[in-house]
Amino acid sequence: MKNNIYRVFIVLILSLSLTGCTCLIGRCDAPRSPFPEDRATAAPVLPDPNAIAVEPLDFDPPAVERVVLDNGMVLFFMEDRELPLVKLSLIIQAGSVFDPPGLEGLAALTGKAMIRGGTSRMTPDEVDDELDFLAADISVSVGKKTMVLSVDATTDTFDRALEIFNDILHHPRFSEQRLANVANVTVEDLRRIPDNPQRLAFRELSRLLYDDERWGRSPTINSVRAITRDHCEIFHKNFIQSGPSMAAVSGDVSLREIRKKLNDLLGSRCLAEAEPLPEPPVPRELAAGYYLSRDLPQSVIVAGYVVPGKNDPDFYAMNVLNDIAGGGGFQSRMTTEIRTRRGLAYSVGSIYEPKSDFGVVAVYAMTRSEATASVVELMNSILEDLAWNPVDTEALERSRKSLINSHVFSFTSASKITRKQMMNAFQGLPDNFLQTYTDRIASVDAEDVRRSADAYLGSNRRVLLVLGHPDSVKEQRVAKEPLVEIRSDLLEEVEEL
Amino acid sequence: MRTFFPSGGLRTRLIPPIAAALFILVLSAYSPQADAFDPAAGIHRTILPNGIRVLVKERSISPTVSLYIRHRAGAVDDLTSRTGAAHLLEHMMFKGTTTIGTVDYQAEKSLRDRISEARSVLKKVSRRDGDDSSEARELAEKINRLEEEKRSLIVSNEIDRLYRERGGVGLNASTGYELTTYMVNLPANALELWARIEADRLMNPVFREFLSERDVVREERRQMVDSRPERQLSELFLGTAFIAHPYGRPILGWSDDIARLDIDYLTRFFRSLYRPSNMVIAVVGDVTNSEVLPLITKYFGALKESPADNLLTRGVTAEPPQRGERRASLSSSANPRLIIGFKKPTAPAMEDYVFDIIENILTGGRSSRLYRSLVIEKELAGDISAVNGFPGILYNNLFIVEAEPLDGVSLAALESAILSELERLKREPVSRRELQKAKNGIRADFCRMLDSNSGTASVLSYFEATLGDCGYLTNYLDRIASIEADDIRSAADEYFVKSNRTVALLEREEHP
Repeated sequence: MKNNIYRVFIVLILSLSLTGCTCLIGRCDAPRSPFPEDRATAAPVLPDPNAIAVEPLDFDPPAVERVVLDNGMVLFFMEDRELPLVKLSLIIQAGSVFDPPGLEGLAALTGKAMIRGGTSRMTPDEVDDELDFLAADISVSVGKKTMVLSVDATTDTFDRALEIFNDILHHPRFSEQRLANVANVTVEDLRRIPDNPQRLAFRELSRLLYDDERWGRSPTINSVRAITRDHCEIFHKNFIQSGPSMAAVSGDVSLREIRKKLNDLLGSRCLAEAEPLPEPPVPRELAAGYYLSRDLPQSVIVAGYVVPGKNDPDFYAMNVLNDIAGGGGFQSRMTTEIRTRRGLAYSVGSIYEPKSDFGVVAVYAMTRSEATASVVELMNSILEDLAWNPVDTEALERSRKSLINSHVFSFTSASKITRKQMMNAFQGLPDNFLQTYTDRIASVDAEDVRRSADAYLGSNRRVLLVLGHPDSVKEQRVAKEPLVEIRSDLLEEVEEL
Repeated sequence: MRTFFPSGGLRTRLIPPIAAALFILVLSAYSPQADAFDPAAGIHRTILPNGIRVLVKERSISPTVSLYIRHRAGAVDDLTSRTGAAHLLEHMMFKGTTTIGTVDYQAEKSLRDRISEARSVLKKVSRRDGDDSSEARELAEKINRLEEEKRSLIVSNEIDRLYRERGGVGLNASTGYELTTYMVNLPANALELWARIEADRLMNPVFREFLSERDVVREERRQMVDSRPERQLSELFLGTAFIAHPYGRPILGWSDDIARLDIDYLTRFFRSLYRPSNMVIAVVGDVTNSEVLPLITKYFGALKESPADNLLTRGVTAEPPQRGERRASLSSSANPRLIIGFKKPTAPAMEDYVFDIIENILTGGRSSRLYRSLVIEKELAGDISAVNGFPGILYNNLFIVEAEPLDGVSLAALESAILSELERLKREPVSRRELQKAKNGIRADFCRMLDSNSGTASVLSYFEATLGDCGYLTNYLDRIASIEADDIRSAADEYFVKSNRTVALLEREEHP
């Protein structure tokens, strides 16, 4: 092996020497520039990219059919015959916010155990076998407020997949053995969160962000282990079996066909009164800074803010503000200042995740330990500047154009369109929410952006967490307030194992 | 033929995914019953006079278009001591052109040349009198002043701005072992802007802000590898399986090599490998071939085939035959995991199709053999996945199984259970139903992948750029249909053998 390496080096050196000699004895036509743009060949004259004419986009968002099933459930539907696929999603108010204390993770575990635990008519293995043979996918995703169950199948197998889906939804078996297996796999996944510093940081930030613990609770190893079959059955009965729900269907099927199928299968589904959601979380009134010690070569810096959601008139200004601050790709201030100009991070920026009645902005950066304080300072100064000074016209226009012109990407597939309509309707947003979005963004002005930054992203509302080597915090003044060292409940559980 | 990027992250991106599950891109395949639809229908394939291959597919569900440019250039083309060059070049291609990203290119160029000259004088002076000599200090100050002046002429991230203002989303790039890819999704009315920008950055790129971008890549390595033991395991695994072939080297490059990369070398790499004949463009969306082709011809037709750099195009070292099991281990505070791999022929060899079926039989769903046996019944693993065609497609590659043991289960027990399941493939013929199930799964995956402009553009350009044939997929269907249980047993017999095996273990470090 050693010889091989030496041989490679010798060949390399020889090749370089030969290239050099050739030039020296005059066989090169021109000296070779080290810069790529210095080419001998003349490039054609290109038009100014800012001046390239753009035809107006002739686009009306495709119409989504909104029908009401026999039991009153609303269905959003769009036919799409391009591929032999049909997708159905069902949204139910059954999110993790309803997890009882000490049983955090119940909603998610119930969802998984429904799909993997068999039905009254089929064993878990039979469900797995048949779905795999049909190449049908039945999946669940659980958010804070809602659970979305989906079935995705080919045209020829959709009917059967839908029958199984219906059985899973209304008659789950919750096999003890499978439930134990799902819990074990979930615990293993939790145990492995600390192996991924980003995942651990966002989990801990979510716990720290909310004063109301119902919004901030996360599953732990002990809470998942405490969940029994009875808990799943009760959660299913109270929230999933008969809760308010809406459906979205798209693909290679007609409205007439799907309406009949859903009336036959889901038509008896009772849409009972919803369990009330807790009041939306309130923003912090005092800045809070924490650090979590991990022996890493890089600090993970995350900060969160509770902000307005889609129902708030400032939702549109928040979109523009997020775009300018850190959500708008390379043009955003955080990326430009921290990544492009200073090379301090590969991942840096902000995310705005709005629900109907509140939202969260998270800013993040991963940087080498010794640059932790500099990066936090840069993030703060960018947000402070946005709160004090109105953004210049050019930046505002750039951001508004980007949000308005990219809105068309909300409508790129039938499944995306119907699902989005369903989610918006379930959140109680107006029917024309998507259609009026661009006009509302166009009306956001510089003062709206400044005022929103001041009101919602002020340093007093910030919850900061630095995850990294203790020296990165102890030897640097990371924030104005001293950072409080925290312990992660998850890390403590892992250490106890 | 399945190209799959598991948690090892063997493809790097310009923009990272954040706070999401690891992005997994499956370039899957379709299967025998695809008579209900024809994915190859409506694809217009054109070769421009300069050698660029153009694929256009019209899809009109929304007035958008997905644009992929793939270059047959990647980490396999990095020289031994210059690992990471293909990847850093990908980053530098976003730094603008002579007409994008500058307020006055001529002034910028003049400053660039003065800085270059001052640096070479400083080098000589430092060597002669030391870094602290007054002349050296004056020169260093002068360079700083000139750099500052040059910086004032640079408009950062202009390519991003131009695309975003027109509504572009998903502007990104990725570097793999064989391909470097530049992609963006645009409203269909911005097609000409795309052609203008992309042709310009191939003809007149300017590698601005080089040192800070090299630092970004070092941060990328800290984030993606140095902070993630499972990624370190992937590097170790590939380095063990491939002792000569460049699949054994990391795409991101070794830290030491990244620090050594300079503009001069990247320029050579760019000139030598970003050539029209190495390049594929895919355009999928609400456009017509008759409007796309003239635009592409107008802007990209001027690209000339530059003379190849012998140093960079001398070929790739072949991997010698493996004659014995290879094992490696990594100690870390992270939870244990393992990777087992077997060398095998790549696409379009018949064995590769057979291994696609085997992949599905082993981990394609909850009823698959390894998942059911190890995750559900024996509860040895929390997660397990098999991947065919790892880590690239142009050269003979690996079939791998990657698994995470449940707490308290030893890696030895998990490894032994996986190997037993592989042995079973040699002993018991796969039933007709199980075989059909695998074929059904492959077909459905393929349909789902084509359910977006970007999925279609990605897969078409991938096979065109690697195998020289986007129609590979059409034949793939028939090949998969023809596979029988005996083919699976033969492949298992031939390749799932100890002497052809590489095993890498991530073991928990023991505290004294």
